[in-house]
Amino acid sequence: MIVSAGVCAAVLLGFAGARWLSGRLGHPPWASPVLMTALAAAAVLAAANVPLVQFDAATRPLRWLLGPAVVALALVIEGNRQLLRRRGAAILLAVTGGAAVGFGSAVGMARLLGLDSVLAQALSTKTVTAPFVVAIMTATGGPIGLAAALSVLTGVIGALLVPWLFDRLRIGDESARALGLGVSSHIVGTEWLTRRNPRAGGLAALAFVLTGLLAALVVPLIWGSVG
Amino acid sequence: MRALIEIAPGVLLCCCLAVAGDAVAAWAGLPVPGAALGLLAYLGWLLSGRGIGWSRRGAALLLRWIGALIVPALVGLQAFAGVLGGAVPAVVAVLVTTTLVTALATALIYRFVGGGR
Repeated sequence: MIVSAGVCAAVLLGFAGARWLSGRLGHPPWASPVLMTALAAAAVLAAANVPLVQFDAATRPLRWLLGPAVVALALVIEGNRQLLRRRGAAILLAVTGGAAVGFGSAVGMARLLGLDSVLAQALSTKTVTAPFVVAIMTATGGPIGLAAALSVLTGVIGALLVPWLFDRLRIGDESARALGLGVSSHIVGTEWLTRRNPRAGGLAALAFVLTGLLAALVVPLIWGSVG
Repeated sequence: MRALIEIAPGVLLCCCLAVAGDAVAAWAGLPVPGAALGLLAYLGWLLSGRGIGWSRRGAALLLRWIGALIVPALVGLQAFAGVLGGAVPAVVAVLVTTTLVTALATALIYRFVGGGR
């Protein structure tokens, strides 16, 4: 009990430190606080020779709180209700279509390259933000750690490359760019955009929460019917 | 102390909705995560405008720390070193390609359905 509280406090403190460090570096996408904290935790576990099972047991309270935090994401959708009222149909169509392309292209390419079925399952949620990924994989018994890592990595890759792609292809519409970044690169991409353009960042946030919600309701059913 | 009183109701509400969502999913035999159902319930409540302002502070606090809550899952990646093995280049190729394709598809669909105007 005391050990668990200590480990959880250490993770929270580590995350606060990583967030501070990321800010000092100017918030580059590759300095994701989540990634830095996880790497530091893994290094400490390896150095102290602590088995992963013990760390898992000690951090159970944090894992549990992820559920309530996902519930709280409703605030993001509600915060954009004006926008939804005005352009809801177009936003929902773009998010649904984009999420479907994300799911289909990842699963299809995994099959094409002959990747392991566990990898294909983890890749299927790469276009979903990590909190939803953990929730989906927990509910379906999927590869939680692997899928969460691929999701965070996707966010970093997207924040680095998607704005460049849009520039190259001369896609200038602010809303289209925000939705594309939000769906494809979820939290990391959205934070990157919010620092440059808070209004567009709000739309990107709406896009990634809707994508996650959609995936949470649909992906388990797909895996359930295939598996 | 006052901060705690302002934050606790929202955190507790989100906890209750997450638990209720899990219970509903289990009862209905649905494989969907209960938290997603809890989110829908909270959203409905927020949109109905029936004085739920007291929950905002706590819910916002959970959102601010959501990154820290993912860390334990991410550390669990270690257990999959065997699965990843030599597939790293292929996985990176999938991530880069599909992320760009997804972003482009989303932006183009939005433009096609006339959202840009």
